[in-house]
Amino acid sequence: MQRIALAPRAGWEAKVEALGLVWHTAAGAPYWNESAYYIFSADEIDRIEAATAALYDLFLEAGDYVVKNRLYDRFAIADWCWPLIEEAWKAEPPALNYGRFDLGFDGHGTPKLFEFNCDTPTSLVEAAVIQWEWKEEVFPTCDQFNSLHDKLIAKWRDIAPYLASGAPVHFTHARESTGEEAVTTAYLMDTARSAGLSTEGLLISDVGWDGRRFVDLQGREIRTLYHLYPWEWLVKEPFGRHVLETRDRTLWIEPIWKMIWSNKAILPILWDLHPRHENLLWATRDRPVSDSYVRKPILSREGANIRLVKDGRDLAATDGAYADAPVVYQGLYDLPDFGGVRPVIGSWIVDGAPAGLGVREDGLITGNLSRFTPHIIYG
Amino acid sequence: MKIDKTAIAGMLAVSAAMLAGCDDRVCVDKQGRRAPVQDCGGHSGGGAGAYYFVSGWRGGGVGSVDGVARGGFGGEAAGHAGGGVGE
Repeated sequence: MQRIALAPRAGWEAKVEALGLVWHTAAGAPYWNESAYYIFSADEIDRIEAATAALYDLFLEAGDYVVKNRLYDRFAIADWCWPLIEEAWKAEPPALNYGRFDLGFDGHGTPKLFEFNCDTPTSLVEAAVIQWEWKEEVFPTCDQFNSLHDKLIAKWRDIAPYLASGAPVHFTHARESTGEEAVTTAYLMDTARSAGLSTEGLLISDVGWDGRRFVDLQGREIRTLYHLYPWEWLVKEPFGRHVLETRDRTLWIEPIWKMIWSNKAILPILWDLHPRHENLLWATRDRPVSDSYVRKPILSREGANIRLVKDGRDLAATDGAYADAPVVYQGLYDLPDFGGVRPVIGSWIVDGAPAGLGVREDGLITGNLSRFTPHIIYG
Repeated sequence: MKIDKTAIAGMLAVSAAMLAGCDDRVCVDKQGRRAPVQDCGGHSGGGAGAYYFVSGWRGGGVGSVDGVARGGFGGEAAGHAGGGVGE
């Protein structure tokens, strides 16, 4: 695993914008960073791929354990959601079942799990499309760990027969100023269309309730609803309980059981079930078991309210909106240091199949503005 | 892997349409029926037009038009300004 400096392509901004990445610059600095790239060996990619598949199996087992033992309190999930989660977990309704494992990896040891982002994962367009087109132009003879685009289309094609016939799949997201959520949602909508599905896009706030059904802006019933909007927010909003009332009418993608996997409360459960697993860091919910640890709110997003402690001393911390949330503790992983740049591997998976990776780099904590830097495979 | 750039161009067009649809205002008449925005003259007590902007929904909170309530999702995102919903 190497990080190599490189001159960005002339006119790179226009090139990535043409592919959808309109949020390539943030806070005056490139978010899409092609002034460097990462090289992974085939062996390193094999280890990331194997860890991704192994972690997915651990999550399957942990999900079963949570549902069987009804541990929802640990996840701060309201009790009226429990039957919905249990139904969905057992029935396995059609879903993309995609997500991104954030991993610590330095090229030498085994990849270690930080968390699984599988409810509203972003950096998808960057990973699936932008870095691939960059590779095709800059390193056309090299390979890249990236089959996301194809796997997403294949998965839509796979579930298409099980979706409400004759009705479009409605794609929703929250209003947001950078365009990231609109374009990420539109990208997924495009993969669905490529699989032959009819689609419709609208803001999540434009979803209507006519007293018995969810409807779109034309008043048509919404039968399949993709949401780039977190379940933990959906269920506590004014329409939240209508999800329960329409459980036989509207299919949600992703399903509500993702409230288990995407919640960091799963981390101590994984560790309890598989202590010292080679792809896990220790994790607890009560107190740290070492004086070097990370404290994370169970539902924080974009690297908010994270605290890093090394040898009993504060190393770094972020603030945010989750200061009062329940937390978990996780063993501190020493991210590789490329001249002050610390990369985190985002390893994608689609329905159990590893599907590619993206690298985000920053300091000790990866947040909303951490740069996305492309990669190639060599050797 | 092969990426269909034609499809991506289509995606961008859709994205642009989705972004363009982010109008802050929804206009209704006194019976709560939708009306053309350009005909609206009043909002939150201001103006003197024949139609009214809904105080909820795109203005924040739940609003109702033509018997359909909207704005019942999305409020949490508004409370996380600048944070985004991405993981």
